[in-house]
Amino acid sequence: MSRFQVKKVAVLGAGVMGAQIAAHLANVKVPVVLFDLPAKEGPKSGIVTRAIDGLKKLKPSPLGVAEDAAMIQAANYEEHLEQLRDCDLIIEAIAERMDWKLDLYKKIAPFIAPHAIVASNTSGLSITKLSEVLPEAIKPRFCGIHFFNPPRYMLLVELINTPTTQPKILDDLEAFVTSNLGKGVVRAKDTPNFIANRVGVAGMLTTMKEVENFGLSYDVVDDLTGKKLGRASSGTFRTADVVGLDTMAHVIKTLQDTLSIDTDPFFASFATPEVLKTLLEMGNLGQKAKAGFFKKVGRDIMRFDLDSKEYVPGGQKADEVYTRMLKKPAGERLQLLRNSEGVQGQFLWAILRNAFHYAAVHLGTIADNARDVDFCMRWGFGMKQGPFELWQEAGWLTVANMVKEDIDAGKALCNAPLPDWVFNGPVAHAGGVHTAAGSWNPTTGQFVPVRSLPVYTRQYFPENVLGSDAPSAATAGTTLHEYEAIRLWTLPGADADVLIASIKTKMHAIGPGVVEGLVQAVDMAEASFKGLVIWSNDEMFSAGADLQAMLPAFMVGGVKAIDAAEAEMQQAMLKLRYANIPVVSAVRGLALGGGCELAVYSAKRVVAMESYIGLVEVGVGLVPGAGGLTYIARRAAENAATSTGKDLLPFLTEGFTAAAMAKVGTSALESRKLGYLLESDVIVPHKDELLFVALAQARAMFDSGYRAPNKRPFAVVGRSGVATIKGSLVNMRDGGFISAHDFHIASLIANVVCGGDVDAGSLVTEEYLMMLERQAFCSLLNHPKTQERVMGMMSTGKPVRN
Amino acid sequence: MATYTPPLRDMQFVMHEVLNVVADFATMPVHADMDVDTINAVLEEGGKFATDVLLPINISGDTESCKLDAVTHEVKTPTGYKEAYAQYIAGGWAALACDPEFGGQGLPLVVNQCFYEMMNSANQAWTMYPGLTHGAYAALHTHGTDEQKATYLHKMTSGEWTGTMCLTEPHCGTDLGLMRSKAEPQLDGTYRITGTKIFISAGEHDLTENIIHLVLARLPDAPPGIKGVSLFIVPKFHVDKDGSIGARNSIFASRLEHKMGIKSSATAQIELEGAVGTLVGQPNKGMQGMFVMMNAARLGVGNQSLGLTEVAFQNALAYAKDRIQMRSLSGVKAKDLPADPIIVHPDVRKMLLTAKAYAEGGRALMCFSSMLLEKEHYHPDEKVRKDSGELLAMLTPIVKAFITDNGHISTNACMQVFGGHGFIKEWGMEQFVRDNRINMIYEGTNTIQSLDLLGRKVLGNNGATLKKFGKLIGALVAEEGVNEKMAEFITPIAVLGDQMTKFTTELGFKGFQNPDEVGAAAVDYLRVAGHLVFGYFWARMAQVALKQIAAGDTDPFYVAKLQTARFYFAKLFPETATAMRTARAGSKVLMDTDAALT
Repeated sequence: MSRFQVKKVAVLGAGVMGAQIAAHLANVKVPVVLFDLPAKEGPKSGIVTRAIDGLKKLKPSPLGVAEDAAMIQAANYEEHLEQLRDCDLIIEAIAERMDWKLDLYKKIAPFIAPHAIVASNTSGLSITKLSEVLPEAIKPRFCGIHFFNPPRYMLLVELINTPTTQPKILDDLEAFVTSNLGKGVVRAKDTPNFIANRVGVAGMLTTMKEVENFGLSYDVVDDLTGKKLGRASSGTFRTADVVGLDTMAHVIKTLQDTLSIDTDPFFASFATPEVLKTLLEMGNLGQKAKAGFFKKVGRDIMRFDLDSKEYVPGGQKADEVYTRMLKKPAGERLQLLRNSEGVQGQFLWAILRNAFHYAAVHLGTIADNARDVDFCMRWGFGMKQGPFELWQEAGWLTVANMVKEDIDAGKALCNAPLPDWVFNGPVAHAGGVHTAAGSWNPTTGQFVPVRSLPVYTRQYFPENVLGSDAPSAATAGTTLHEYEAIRLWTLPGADADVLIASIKTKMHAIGPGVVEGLVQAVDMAEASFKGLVIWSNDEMFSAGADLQAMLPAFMVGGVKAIDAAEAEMQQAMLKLRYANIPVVSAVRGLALGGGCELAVYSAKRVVAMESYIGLVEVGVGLVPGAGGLTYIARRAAENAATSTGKDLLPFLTEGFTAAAMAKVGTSALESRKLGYLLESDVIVPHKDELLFVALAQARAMFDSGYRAPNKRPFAVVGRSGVATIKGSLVNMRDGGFISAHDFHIASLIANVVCGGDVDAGSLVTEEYLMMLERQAFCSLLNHPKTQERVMGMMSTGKPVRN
Repeated sequence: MATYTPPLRDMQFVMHEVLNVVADFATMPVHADMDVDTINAVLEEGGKFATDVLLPINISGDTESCKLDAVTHEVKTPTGYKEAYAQYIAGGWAALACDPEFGGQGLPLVVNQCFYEMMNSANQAWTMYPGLTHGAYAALHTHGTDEQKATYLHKMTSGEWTGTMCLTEPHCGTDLGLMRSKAEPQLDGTYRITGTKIFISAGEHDLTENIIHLVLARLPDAPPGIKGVSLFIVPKFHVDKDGSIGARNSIFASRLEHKMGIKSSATAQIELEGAVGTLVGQPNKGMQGMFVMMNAARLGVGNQSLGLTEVAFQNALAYAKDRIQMRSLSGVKAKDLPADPIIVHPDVRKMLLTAKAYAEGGRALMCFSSMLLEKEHYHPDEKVRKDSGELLAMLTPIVKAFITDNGHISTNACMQVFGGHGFIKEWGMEQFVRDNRINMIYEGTNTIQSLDLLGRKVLGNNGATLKKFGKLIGALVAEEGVNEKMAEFITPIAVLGDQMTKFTTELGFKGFQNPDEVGAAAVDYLRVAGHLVFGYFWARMAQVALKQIAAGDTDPFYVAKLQTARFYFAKLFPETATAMRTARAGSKVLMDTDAALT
């Protein structure tokens, strides 16, 4: 069986989605050619080159590093169709017009390679209808591939087949999208708006309807329906503002055009809300028009008032009692909300009830199984839990009866009854739609297990739904030692030869417990394992040293106590680096300060694409104190040693700047540019493949005869380097770019990375530089301005500029 | 003349409905059979004593005050004081909460405290005489030898003898380390003590045949400062082996202070001229014994202001209903009268409710603290004893400073309700203000209390004790946090509780860098902590009231409680925002002011 390979991808349509999909392909090193119409004036590919330029300015950035925009090849349909012949995958992402799409398919058909997959990123049109115009030879290779905006960050990709799509094609595409693009795939049926947008947009519309019913204001609703409800922090209306109210209106129109009261009993609730019409008429299209449901005036956020058509002061929060209700266990929470006497509580129950109602009524027609609906809402709409998970957690039949009572009492949005499977048969018996055997498919009346494609064997702890009894990374495998701060464990079978250390503290902060645990892990790994992998199963490698935990020691013992704690951390870092087995840091999400230091003192880093690495201590008025600056000095010496030039300083500048300005890489790629990752480190697109790859790397290194690096002194630039760097710092300070305290901290950093008051080219040890680090760290800790920054950070969570 | 009705219903509410003290007593063998009826009956009688015996001599005692005979060194208390004291002894009131081993009745401290609140309402100055005895009793009970206890405690329990605390000297008040009084050891194991003590409450009087002074002094070889201070018993008259009164000891009152308030309390300057005393506890460890007295006394001072706040409120309320003057801003309320009673005016109500909310919140805190003290001493579980002691240590400066500051605010507000008549002596309102004023000063000024709270009790153990109180709040939030009817009471304390952690850390960090920051923030900090504690109790009181109302109880008491709780959270509790802001303003504007202070 030949392996499906994607050597090159074509993206058709350089609009918002097409260009960003192309950017994401560039991120994961897939050559991509981006097409659009030929420009009427100027260079023929002008539309595309402008779109590519636009990618660099877009926030959040679709590109890992801006210069990778150059990796996207610009093309137009007039001159470059020939290039399609080299493409293994063609993604069509032009405007949502059936006639335009069909025209384009006819135009490109002759140029499509005989093995290539053709996929449409349409979010509303029927994939089957689109396929009908294609030549018979292409039909089996045609499907829907539905990305979510912004495609780099949203995990969800829906794949949609037509009756003629070859199953293997979809499996191949799923493997590519999963492992190479790092996305979470859900197979959707070819029904209007597929799964996520169908449920999600219906949810937004019905939420807006309930907002009208209950007479709540938009700021309060956003507070209620944001993080507190386990949804995206932008809530309901700010999300609409960000998406754009014209786009919202378009999606709603699709819903209105493609559905009817016959296909969707909730149809009556899908009328465009009055307020949306009004805002559209006023041209207040949301964020891009600087006014929508909300409008920023100076520092204040104003909210729209439909009655007066004016913006009035906003920023009102939900009543705290509902915040506390939302923190209760699911069952109690729903009871409390339903029995609530206040409108905010009643509103919350209403939108949750509507979500349960809608999902249950439509599950059989829009999705293969309940898990797919929950994944879609999590991955495509940023919810912590999908509707079925919440329902099941709260008690299946209890909630079902609550919903039924509301339907019977005419309180629900429509009188469509809950399907019979809700109350009778396997689901009722199992207490929910998700079971260890799989998730409910109402059409077949079976619980469907997760698809078992080979690509999923790379995910040791894949995302799973509540009730599926999937193993948890917190308890899986064999625990060798477990402390409050860290767990040392192994996986079974072939992976049992590598030790895994998982940090458990909040934000994975590094305190004494973590340091002790890591030291023990190295000892254990050296004695009995092929390597040590530092990995945790969440969006956080480590946010750094635990300042809060250090504070009591500092207040009692002063700087001396901290000096000792720092020295211990430094020793632990050196222990990792000079371990006789490879230590591999599997980084995902934040690796800041001490977390960054942990990573750079490992023998290798296996890094998820979405990783943000940096030494940020300056933000709290400190310097990296656990070997971070020593690393910068050593890397500069190592890099200089490989070049012919004699001057060390240029090699130091980048590292110095990154630390002095507290730069954090906005992706794994940018983190590498800052010097915190090496070319030899591995970047992994899919977060859930991280552990698999890290274990494989550790084992391969050991099997290749791993030896710890030689411990040898290296050259530093000395006092002349300090003077040069300080010279430019003086200019920055006098120019008002940095404060006096910034200058002071940066000077201390310069002093450490240059090796202090020594001659240029002097050879120094890591221990010597670490001593300088500690001196700088401790002197700053006693500095009032630093203390102001630390306190500010602790009390407001925001950096203080002083 | 002021009138007074003992607030028995509210005391019962706090003890039985909010704190459920009887359930606590059931866990303590010494009080295992204590019941609601006994407690209520005792307090009802106690209320009568306060109202019938002490109240009538309050204003007259203030006018007459005490007289010192320069020749005999004897002090004559105002008319009726001696008779009142005789009734006090005869009624067995002195022995109420004392150890049965020494003739006490062994009633719970909370009962004694409520009784004292009523006496304080009726006549704070008179109540000083028996009040001081309790502190001395507690110090001897804890640190005295068996012989000392046998000699003194029976008569102090019965009230036949009173006690004093002789700490202050002309040059040393707050800073006792500067003390000069000397104690020379004698061959018979006694000491001869020489020195001058001032501001000695109940230092000399004609109420009892003997006065037992507890005196701090230095031994000849004592190390300098506070660690060289020892505690001695120095009786006015020696006590013979058979317990009878012996020779006069050379300890004399040489002067009485002329004071702003509590004028009928004899505040004496005491000369010790080789007076004979015996050592209490270990040499140079006198402060240990003194702290027992001081902690008891600090709680007692809070209770004094509680009493004054209550009585001032009662009189102002009656006056505001009775006094007609002007018309309501929102239209005539009393058509058949030439003017409306002044209670129709929002600000008059605010003044009245301020006193009411501070009185009832203070009562809940006082009773809770008494129960902690009880548990610290008598609970069978060691952990409960320890936890109660630690929590009480943190609450003591709040009881002392917050309740007395609130007393200042409240008695002034109540006096204000009377308009010009408040300023006239015969109404009694100005006396409450004057009497309360000392409560903010003695037993450690309120600034000292705030330093004790922030510096020692909170930052001293990195906020560990504060977290204990935070847990109480957390438990209430967990219990009632999702009750919509309770939200208006729960949300403010939950939010302030969270803010408090950060606020404390911030002050700790600032204080480490510059100790003046603690000094600059402490008084504001105590106001915030006080409201956190009061807020907690007001939420608990509202909780009980809501439950009773929901259960169909139509007693207007509960509606009143709920309305007062709402007033408290709306009008008094928000002071915390200002206090935090001023605390955060730091010490610089205070310490960089040399020119302003020339």
